[in-house]
Amino acid sequence: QSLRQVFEAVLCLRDFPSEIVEKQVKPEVEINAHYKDDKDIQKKTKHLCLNDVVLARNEKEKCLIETSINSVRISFKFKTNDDMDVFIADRFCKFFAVRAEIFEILRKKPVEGYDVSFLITNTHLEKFDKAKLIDFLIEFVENVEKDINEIKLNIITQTRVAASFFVNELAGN
Amino acid sequence: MVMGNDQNRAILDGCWSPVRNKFCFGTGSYKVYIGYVDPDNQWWVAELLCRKKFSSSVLSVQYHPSGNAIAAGSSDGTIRIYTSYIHEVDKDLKSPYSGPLADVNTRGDELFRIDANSWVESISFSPSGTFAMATAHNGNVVEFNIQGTEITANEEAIIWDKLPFRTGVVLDDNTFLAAGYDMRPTLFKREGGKWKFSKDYKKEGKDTEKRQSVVQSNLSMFERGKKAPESTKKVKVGHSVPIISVQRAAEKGLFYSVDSHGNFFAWPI
Repeated sequence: QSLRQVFEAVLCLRDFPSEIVEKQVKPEVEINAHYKDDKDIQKKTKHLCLNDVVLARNEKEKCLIETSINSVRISFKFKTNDDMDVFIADRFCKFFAVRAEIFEILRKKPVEGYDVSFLITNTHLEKFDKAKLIDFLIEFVENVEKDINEIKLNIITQTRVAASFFVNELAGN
Repeated sequence: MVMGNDQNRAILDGCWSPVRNKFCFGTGSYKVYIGYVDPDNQWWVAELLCRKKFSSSVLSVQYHPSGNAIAAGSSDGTIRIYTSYIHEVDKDLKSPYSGPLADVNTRGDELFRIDANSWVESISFSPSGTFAMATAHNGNVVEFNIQGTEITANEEAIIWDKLPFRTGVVLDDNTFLAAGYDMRPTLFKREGGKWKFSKDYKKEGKDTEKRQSVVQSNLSMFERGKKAPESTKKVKVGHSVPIISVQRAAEKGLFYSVDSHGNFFAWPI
């Protein structure tokens, strides 16, 4: 898949001490995005980040990839057809975000306009196997869509059952 | 070692001069320094190579085989070659090198600059001093030709469409070895003026008894009576993490490759 190719190309990270702050290592992609309006800092870090890539299947389903020399930020937006979907996706992703520390690569707050964000740095790549990391990301995206649909179906059947009981009670008595 | 200057960022790469009387290093504070023994005071001194700064961290530095020039590549995408003759140390030196740039006697003159458009991860000069290869993050390898005092560059000497190279070493006038995020050392040979892909050093499942994985050795503990299965003796040869450095070995016909997990392999050329 094209997603896999892009991930493989993008996850070529190396350790890089921060140029702005002494003796510290910061994910350059976060600094670049955070200080988007600060021209001074942008001048110093712009060259360390590459252009953003957006892979979009359609307006509603996209994947944003921002890369830099030592970190990559991957954000996904899932397909949501109606209000119920939006609600479910929101709660589902917040569930993950709260447990982001266990995932290690998950970002606690998704990037604006997206549902889920991952921040992968070179330390993560040294700990985890790169191919397996990419497999995990792709599986995650596929499973989340399936899960959201399942949850929606569950809700619909539950409400249908509850509504039928309620109506029966009203009609029966 | 005394560093009497306002250096406040990490040292990112260093290189000894081929004549071993001085060394240079590149820092995260956008500068390149040369260190040498001050003959008057007999202590190590580090001096700025030249006043002009790069606009980003210096990721790689390399000495020209003559000891008189330094090539530096940085994360702002530029590769610059400066002269580096230190009067106090080099004036009485007789080095066996004879080739381009042997009689340069200035310091800090910019001989050449090129913009590679992506972070320059490594530079390597050929042993004869006639050319250099620099690997950049966009997958291309830039070749510099040094003839006399003229330096020309071929920006797309090798266009590599797979994952970028992190390190490279020129083995002789016609062979170049590069390795990086593909986790496999790759050999290029020059034929008829153009560089062509020659060999990929792939993983081979050779039988060696150097290292047993922890799980296998624990398992064999429980199977004491049985014969150890052959698979416990095979060691995975090859890197599973990006290769950080490739070096010519002291023994002929070998080169070493190291990755960020500390795995160290020797390969035959």
